[in-house]
Amino acid sequence: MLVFHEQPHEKVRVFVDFSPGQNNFKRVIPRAFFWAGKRYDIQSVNLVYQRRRGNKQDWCFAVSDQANAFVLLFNPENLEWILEEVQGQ
Amino acid sequence: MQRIILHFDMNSYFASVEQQANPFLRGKPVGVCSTMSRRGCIIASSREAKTFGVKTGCRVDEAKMLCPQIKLVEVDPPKYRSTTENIVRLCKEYTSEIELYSIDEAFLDFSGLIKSFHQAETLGQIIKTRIRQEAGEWLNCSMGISYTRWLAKFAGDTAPKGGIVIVNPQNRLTYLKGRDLQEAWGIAGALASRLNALNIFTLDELARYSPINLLEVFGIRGYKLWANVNGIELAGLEQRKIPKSIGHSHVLRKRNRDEKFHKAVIMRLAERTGRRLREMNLEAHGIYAFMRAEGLGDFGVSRKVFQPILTTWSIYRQVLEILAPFLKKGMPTFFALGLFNLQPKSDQLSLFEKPKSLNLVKALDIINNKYGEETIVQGDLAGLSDGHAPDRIGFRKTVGLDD
Repeated sequence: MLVFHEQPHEKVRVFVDFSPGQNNFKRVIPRAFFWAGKRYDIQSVNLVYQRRRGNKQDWCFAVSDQANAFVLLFNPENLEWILEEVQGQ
Repeated sequence: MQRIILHFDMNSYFASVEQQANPFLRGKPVGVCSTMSRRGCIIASSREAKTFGVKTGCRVDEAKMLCPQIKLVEVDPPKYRSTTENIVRLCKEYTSEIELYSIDEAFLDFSGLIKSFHQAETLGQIIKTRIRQEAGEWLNCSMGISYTRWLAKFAGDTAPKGGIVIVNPQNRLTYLKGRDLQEAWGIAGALASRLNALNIFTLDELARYSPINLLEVFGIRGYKLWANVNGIELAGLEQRKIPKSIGHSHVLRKRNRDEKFHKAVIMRLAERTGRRLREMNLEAHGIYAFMRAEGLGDFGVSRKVFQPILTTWSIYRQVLEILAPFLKKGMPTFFALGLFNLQPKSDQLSLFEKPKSLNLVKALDIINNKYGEETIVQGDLAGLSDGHAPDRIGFRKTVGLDD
């Protein structure tokens, strides 16, 4: 069975909690984002990883709500958040 | 001083990272495939998929037959590289002597830092816990602890999933007893058959066999086999700063005789290879090219070069020189190219390669570094979609330890 997979690559508005944490998982915590007129409350940040763009690195946050998994990409240069992936069943 | 080496191997790594990133995949059979096509192959399967017989190397259509409910996800190399870097960073807090053997395996040398295997086991448990807390709770690993690199890997490979096995001088022979030769790292079918001919069927029999006879039959390789199972350290941890080779390969999605398309794929592989070479500040003194074509079979050549290779264009030109006669004859299905004899860049001026072309490459690299890969490319590559020869993951040393 193929997992439902969309790659919107759209800029989104994200509410983020910047906390003093011990590692990447705990330091920057996206809490919610708006996409296509709807608010998505993030239940958990599952994986934080980096993706190369030339010699720069973007930060990827694999997050999930109750029904879907998302990848939010943060570009540290222009401070933009982009919704990279949506995965569902 | 007691040598203490810990080897860890992440369990079902790529699939576990995918399950970590997407909690809806957890507890379900997951296959990570090279490409989302019927011909694609499964490069990692989750623990759940393995129970259905879906193994690494299985084709996508075969995997679907074995496990119709399998969830397939396409390989995402940055996710695995970055997770490995996080794990290695964490391990570096315990020892600076680390050999990253592959993307999901590493050796940690604790010699001189701790006194006993028992302490190593405690450290192993702490590392496992921290991996789950800081890299992802779905990530699990098996560990082997011993007094040589080979025995540590053997212990790690034979440890139960998520477990820790200690092989010390006292229990070594008991641990080897009755184990099949092919369970050992470095012994496969043909070599096992040759050992069987000497009446060696198990690892403890190999350990007790005369090293002189093994040396006579297999040469130095025979002695190494004997030394490995007898706990004699031959190599220690590999601290190679310069890789043996850099290369890329691609199985074509489209089968056709379109030479322009094939050249574009070769150019993309050359560009990726060239970018990595220059990023590591190396030059290459050898090159290999390989292709598989329907009706022609396999064809590959490797050769040393007089003039060091630095630029994408020189890689591309030399690969084409090797493959050109075959590109026209058959229908290619697979390309691989790579560079070897790598050395630090010498900046020796060349009589043949114009400094102008090197300056151009530097300028192109600056643009691609700033704006992202393939912002500016050689003409042959223009128009080739991202789906052909995309970023792929290797199973050997793919992440650096220097950062």
